[in-house]
Amino acid sequence: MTALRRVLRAPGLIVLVVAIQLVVALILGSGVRAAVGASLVPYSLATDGHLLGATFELFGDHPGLPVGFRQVAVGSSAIALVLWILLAAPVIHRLRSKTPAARLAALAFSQLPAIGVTTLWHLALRIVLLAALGLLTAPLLDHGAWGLLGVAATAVALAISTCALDLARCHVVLHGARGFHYSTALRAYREAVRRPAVLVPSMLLSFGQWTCVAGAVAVAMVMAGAGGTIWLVRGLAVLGVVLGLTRVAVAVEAGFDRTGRG
Amino acid sequence: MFEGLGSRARLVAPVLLALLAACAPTPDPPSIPEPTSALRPAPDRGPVPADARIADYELEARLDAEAHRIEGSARLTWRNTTSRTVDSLPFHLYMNGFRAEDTAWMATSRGNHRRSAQSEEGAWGFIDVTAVRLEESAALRVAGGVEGPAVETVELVWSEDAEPSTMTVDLPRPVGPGESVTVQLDFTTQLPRVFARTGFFEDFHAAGQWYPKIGVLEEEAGWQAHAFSLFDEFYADFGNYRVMLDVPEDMIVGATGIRTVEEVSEGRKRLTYEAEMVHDFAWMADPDFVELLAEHNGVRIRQLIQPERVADGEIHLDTQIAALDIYESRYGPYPWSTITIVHPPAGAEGAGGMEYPTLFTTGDRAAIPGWLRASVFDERMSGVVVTIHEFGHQYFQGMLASREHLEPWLDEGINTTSNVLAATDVLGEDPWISRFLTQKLYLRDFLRSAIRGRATVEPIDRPARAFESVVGNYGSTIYSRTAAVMMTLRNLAGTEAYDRAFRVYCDTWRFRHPRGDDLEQTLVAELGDRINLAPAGGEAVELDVREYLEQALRTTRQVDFRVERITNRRRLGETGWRRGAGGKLEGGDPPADLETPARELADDGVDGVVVVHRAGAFEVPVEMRVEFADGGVERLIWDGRDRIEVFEWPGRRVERATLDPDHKLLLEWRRLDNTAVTASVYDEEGDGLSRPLGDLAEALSLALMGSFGP
Repeated sequence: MTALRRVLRAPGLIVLVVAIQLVVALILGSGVRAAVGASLVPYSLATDGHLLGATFELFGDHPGLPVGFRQVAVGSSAIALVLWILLAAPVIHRLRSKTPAARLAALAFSQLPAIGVTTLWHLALRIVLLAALGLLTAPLLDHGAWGLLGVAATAVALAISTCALDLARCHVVLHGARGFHYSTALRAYREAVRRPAVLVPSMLLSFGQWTCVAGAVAVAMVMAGAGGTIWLVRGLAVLGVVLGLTRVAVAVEAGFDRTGRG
Repeated sequence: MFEGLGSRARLVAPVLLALLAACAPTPDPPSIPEPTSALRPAPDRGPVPADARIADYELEARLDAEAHRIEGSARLTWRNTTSRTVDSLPFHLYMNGFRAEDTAWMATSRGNHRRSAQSEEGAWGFIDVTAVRLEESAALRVAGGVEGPAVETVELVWSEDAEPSTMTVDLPRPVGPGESVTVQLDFTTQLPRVFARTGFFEDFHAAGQWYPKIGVLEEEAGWQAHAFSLFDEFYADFGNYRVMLDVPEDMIVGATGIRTVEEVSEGRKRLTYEAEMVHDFAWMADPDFVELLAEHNGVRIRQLIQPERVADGEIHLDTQIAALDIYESRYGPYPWSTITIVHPPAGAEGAGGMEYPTLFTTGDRAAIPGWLRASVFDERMSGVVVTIHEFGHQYFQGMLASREHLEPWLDEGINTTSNVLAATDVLGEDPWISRFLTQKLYLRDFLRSAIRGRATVEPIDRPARAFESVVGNYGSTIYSRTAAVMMTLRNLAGTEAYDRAFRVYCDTWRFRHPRGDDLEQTLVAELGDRINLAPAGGEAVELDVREYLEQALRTTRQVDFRVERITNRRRLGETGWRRGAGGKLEGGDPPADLETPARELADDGVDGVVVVHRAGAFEVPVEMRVEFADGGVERLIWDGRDRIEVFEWPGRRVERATLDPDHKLLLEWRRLDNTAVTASVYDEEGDGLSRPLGDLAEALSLALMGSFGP
């Protein structure tokens, strides 16, 4: 709860992160809306539940449209990757204590190289971990409910990995750990699994965050075309951001516990 | 739970539940004895004309499972039921299609079939005929005459043709009308590693088209024996078969017909099978097969399935039972007493999805975990659809036995149509075939997407060999477009009339090798030359059935209509200069509301206009549904003859026009331009697609940004 309070004491941070995400998504989504609309005008679709069939026909007639969707996916991923490397240091500093905006901006750039390299080391370890886990659990997929176990194991591994990334970044940003060395990323994994008081809330928050983002897509699918759908989607995204920031705050507080300093 | 469903649907509704249910472990199979007759009892099997029996075979085969080789012999008795006299016998040697890179089959396939490919191990298959003998005493006897006291044989001269998938045997004396001839053949068949229906994979052996098969003598065209190329399938006369198989003792065998003898000695198993009124004999052997037995309406259903897929056996069995009910109900009695479903092992997928008399190979369901099917993604296309399709071939190939190589649409296309109807019988009108969360792709969407693009570049009614594999349009043209043609005709002509016509076709042509003309004439006779599609009391709008079939089967014309324009324009008034009583011009007042936009005029102050455009060359009547601002709805039928038709409603404001509102024209794959609304409605409602797709793109973007951070 203290992590959540820490987040809620930084409303500007929440607004900034949410605004960036919503604006980027709005721009990309509007592009798709405009392209689809231009392809259809003046025709109106009475899909009577055949939305997929109509979509396939539209994509077949206008092959540029699915490419547009792909670009939304690639663009959003790339923006997120760059954004969160860039924002990691100021977010962590702000969650630790109130810091002037100019100082946060300066930190964002001064600690960018170390954060970037730490993140890359972490991603390498994450890929190794997930590949190993995939090899172990892939055979389960064809065995009914056991397949669910494989998916659950993968989700747990991802959550552990995310917790480790948060810890590694906090160590680099707050405690001067060597961001350029792989050992920082590796130690963060070790710390994550050795500190259940940190890992468990971090994992739960990760699961909540992913539920929100998956739920956003599911809502867009399930309630396709219904009025207000996009606001529900955006609401879930905002909730996901709050949960994600709270998860980072858990890692920030873990640093307090470990070092005894703020 | 099943209230409101038709009788057929009630009959098979439990199968729907089974199709949707997660697979459960299969209990020990019941012991169901082998039938004593290859045909069902006379009251159940329907008419089986004796004069259709032309070619009887006695076959012996010894399988060398290590070398994947069959040492075989055949004794063929062939009857000449035509008025022709022949002095030679052509035989198909289908297995020679796999003999070398330059055979017709390999040249057209380039070693690929569906999604399987030739491999270096066991690359080649062949059939080597080593002797052909004539049974002298029976060789030239007149039908009904006295047979000779003993069988003597005379060596005959034979030679493979330039294309080795056929050979010709010269007879010492001609065989005239009404006469029969008996020949013996010795042969060796080498099975290739299976990638196209027949062959081996490890211990699994699929023996299809493994023996010399005589051609078909037609009254008008003479001998029909075709070189075997990629899309050619099989054409043969009916007859009775007695087949003795000698296989390793551990082999579990499935074959055409019924097993009458089983003997085991010295590590070998000798099995005798008998089949009646079939035009082919195939067998499959694998030591790993698990046998699942069932019985339905007196037909013994036997599944030979791989151990790791046994859980899927129940769903295939339920599907088979439903299919048997549906096909008997729609197309007449199934004549044989058995049906065997073979599941090839992983690695032998090339053997899957092939039909033989009373036996077929199926495919496995997609390996999607049950929990995933229940939650996020499910589909109904894999596995069970293959079972329905291949069982359908028991009618549209096994029993009607059309000339597959010359008119493949009559076999694959009509069978696919029957599969679509079977799916609607089980799952209801317009069933979904795949589901992602709550969004579903429906059968009609799938069919429409299958007939766009390359499916439209060549006519349907062409010989199989006229299709080039590199064009990639055979399946979509022959299977899907034919189904769309027939389903469109059914929708236009009326389901009852169409179903009745098809039943007449099947009853008339059982065991008679119908041609496309026969089907078309039956449809015209039963549906009528011209069908009035207009509602009672309206001006006649006729569908010319012959013309429809001609366009659909023998041209590449496309069905494509669009609402070219929908608008409302100011209604004409009575102002202006007019001649008065004295012949002088009077009046001259300006028109009322001349500068008022039409959308702001009163609803009765405008004339509604809809311009309809036949964008495709295919001429067929189409229905239009028009909605008015006063809440009225009107339906009309346009004959679709002219390129453009303007419809006008004085004093009524139109809001929306939809062409083919009931989706009768399955041949029309471009439908996004079938509904148009006026600008004011468009401003209110949008187009119906840009919002959900835009929302989805935005959600996707938010999800990905949320997943990667903070």
